[in-house]
Amino acid sequence: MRPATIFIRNHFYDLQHAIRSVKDQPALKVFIIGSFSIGWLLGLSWLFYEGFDFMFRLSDGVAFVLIPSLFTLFFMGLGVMLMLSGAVTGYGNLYQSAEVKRLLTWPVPLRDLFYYKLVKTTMMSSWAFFFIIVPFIGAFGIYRGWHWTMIFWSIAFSVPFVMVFSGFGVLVMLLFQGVLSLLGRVFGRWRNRILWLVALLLLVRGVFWAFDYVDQVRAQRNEDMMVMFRMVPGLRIASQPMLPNWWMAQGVLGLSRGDWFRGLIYLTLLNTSVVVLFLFVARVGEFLYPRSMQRHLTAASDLTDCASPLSRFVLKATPGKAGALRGYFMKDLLVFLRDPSQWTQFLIFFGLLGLYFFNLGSLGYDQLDDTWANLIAFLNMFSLSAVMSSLSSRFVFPQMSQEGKTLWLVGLAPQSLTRLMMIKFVIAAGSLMLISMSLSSLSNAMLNVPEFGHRITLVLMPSVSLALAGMATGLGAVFMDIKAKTPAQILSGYGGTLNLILTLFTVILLVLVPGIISHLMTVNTLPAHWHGRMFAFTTVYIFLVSFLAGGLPLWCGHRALVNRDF
Amino acid sequence: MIRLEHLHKSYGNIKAVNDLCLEVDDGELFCFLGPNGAGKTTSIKMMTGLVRPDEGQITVAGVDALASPVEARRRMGYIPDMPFLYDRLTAMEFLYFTGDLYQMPREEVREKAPRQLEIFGLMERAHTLTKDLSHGMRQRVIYAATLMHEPDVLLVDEPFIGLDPHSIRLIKDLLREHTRRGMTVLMTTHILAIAEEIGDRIGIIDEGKMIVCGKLEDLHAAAQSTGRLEDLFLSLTMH
Repeated sequence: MRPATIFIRNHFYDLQHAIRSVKDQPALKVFIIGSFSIGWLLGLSWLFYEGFDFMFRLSDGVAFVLIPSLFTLFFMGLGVMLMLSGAVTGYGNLYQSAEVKRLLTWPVPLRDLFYYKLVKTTMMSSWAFFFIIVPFIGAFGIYRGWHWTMIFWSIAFSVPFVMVFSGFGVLVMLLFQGVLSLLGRVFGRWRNRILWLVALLLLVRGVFWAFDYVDQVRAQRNEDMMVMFRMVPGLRIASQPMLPNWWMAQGVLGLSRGDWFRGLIYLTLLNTSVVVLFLFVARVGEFLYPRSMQRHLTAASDLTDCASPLSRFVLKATPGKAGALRGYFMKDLLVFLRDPSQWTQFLIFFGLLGLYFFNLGSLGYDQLDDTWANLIAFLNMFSLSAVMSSLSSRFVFPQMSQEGKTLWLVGLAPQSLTRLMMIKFVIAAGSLMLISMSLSSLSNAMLNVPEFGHRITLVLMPSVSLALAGMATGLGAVFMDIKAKTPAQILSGYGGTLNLILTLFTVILLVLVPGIISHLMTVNTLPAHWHGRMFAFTTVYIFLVSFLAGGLPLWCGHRALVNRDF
Repeated sequence: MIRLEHLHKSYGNIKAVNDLCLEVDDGELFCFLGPNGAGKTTSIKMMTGLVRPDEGQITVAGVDALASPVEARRRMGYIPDMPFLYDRLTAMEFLYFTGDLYQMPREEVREKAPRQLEIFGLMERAHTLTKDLSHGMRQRVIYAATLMHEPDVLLVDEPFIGLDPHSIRLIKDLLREHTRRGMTVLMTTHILAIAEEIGDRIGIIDEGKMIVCGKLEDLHAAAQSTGRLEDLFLSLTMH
């Protein structure tokens, strides 16, 4: 048996053990996670179903034009995210994991190592996407009354689809590592500076290209899809017949109409692309990986990274009173900036949101009446808060557990662990507040949101930030796991899941009620002279919910830290 | 000075520490020996405040460590057996971070951090991320950081694991030098020859109880043994 097959088989054994061990887990944990997963699938399916219903109610003709574009754009969006996820996960699996360093000392052909890591990366980076793909296709299938066998065909399409994008992400990452390695040999210590300069130039060029492209698309008059392309300029790129997202959309829709030939052609195209891509990635990996891995294993770190000016500032000229807050802030900032797997995730999530908010003008939303502007503004607040909820679970919740490894220092420093928890809270709340305030202000500005909604946002977003930071930090202290080696281990526990669910619930509570009140004010269901009264009520509601949602876990965290033996 | 009075700590039915009494004077280097699971680490954790005793009193540098844990920690330093550092900080940044935690004035840190790294032979690697340092170097970074705030009491857990002979010599000389200047050092080790060589007094703990404590001669006298510390240790802890 080939080594790659043995490694993959071992992971399936692990998976089997994990499934079997479910019965040994606490019943409450299984119930909460199970209910959340099912609730998520059902809730999202319902939302998609209502969306399709809305489109078909407009008219069958409109739906006929919109649906293929929607499928194409949906799978393009998923594909881009899968690619980024594949690149980040692939980097961790191939360059940072302890496993790969061990495997490199074994007599395993490099090609097998690559096949194994590609499959592993695809599985790790894509499983969560099925929680979006399944409700989307499922809701459409139920709405259109598809035959039940379409479940099988949807899965048959989804697997090569996630593999091709994830594999492409790994390929891009490998090429980038190869270029880094080459530049390192040519430019030595100047490499990072040159890279930053090139990245900046590319970014500027990219922005100009994007504006030119949008103008070109809008200037076209003789396209069948002119209206759609003008509304959503990215659709033109997404609809290129050479892209796997297009094959996926066309294949699934073709099969659903009973067009077997068309469906199977695209399925075959997807599957053969996966095979060719994986072979190609393994070949590229064989060539580039040994050198770039050498660089990773042997290169001594230096201060030519992006955090070095900050580091010099810390060491030479940091102002302010000495204290633990400054120490932790600077430490966390330096560690964050030097860990690409952390800042790329931040950049991807908030960058995508920022791009979307910035493009609200392109969609003509600023021309909408106040009712729609207000609704979209609150939907934006919700999506921003939901992203903050997942990121606070990913980055803030594990913070206290991660400090557990350095308890010999932080636990013995002349300050209580409660103070450490509060410092973590302040840093997290400050960071979330900065991001949420900037993005929500951008969204409001692009939408010309009515005054009431704008004033509520100014109260809402800092409160959401405080509540999420308080909850994640407090629960992180309550469920502190100092033995866990990675953030993933900390998050996969009962506390991590509970935190994710509670933060999402908090976001719904905090955004929904002010959203409804703001909507009622905008459509004049509530009299205009109630403006001040409703603003005061909403503000008190937001403060109360966020105080309870953030304060209670912090208090529980304090009690847990005081009473706990380490 | 360290004073432990009738310390008790149980984990369920297991008595990890059972009526432990100990006094280590200023300027004394005390070696704390015992087989695995004897209660050494739990005792140290109780002194540092990471574990609360079920009963008993702990005084560190004249401060009641149970009533005023923060004040006691200010006068204490701890060196663990496993050198975990923040991988993405440089050695110098780590010392600055430690200085902030101990609320040392920035001027003092600026003066002391390079000096500490110089003492431990790390100046050339001051701006290297700690993940790229060897085990021994990382251990030396911890020594440099812990001693920077000049603690009155130093607790050292297995200080010689993974160190090369030069580093071992350096650490031994350093511990002697600091005790001469009045620092109290409590050190756990499994390397009995080193305990024999540098310890002013030695205590052997087993099953949570201090079974013998004193100078090497006193231990031999108490156990009616004349051989090496290793023979004495094995005879006392053999079950």
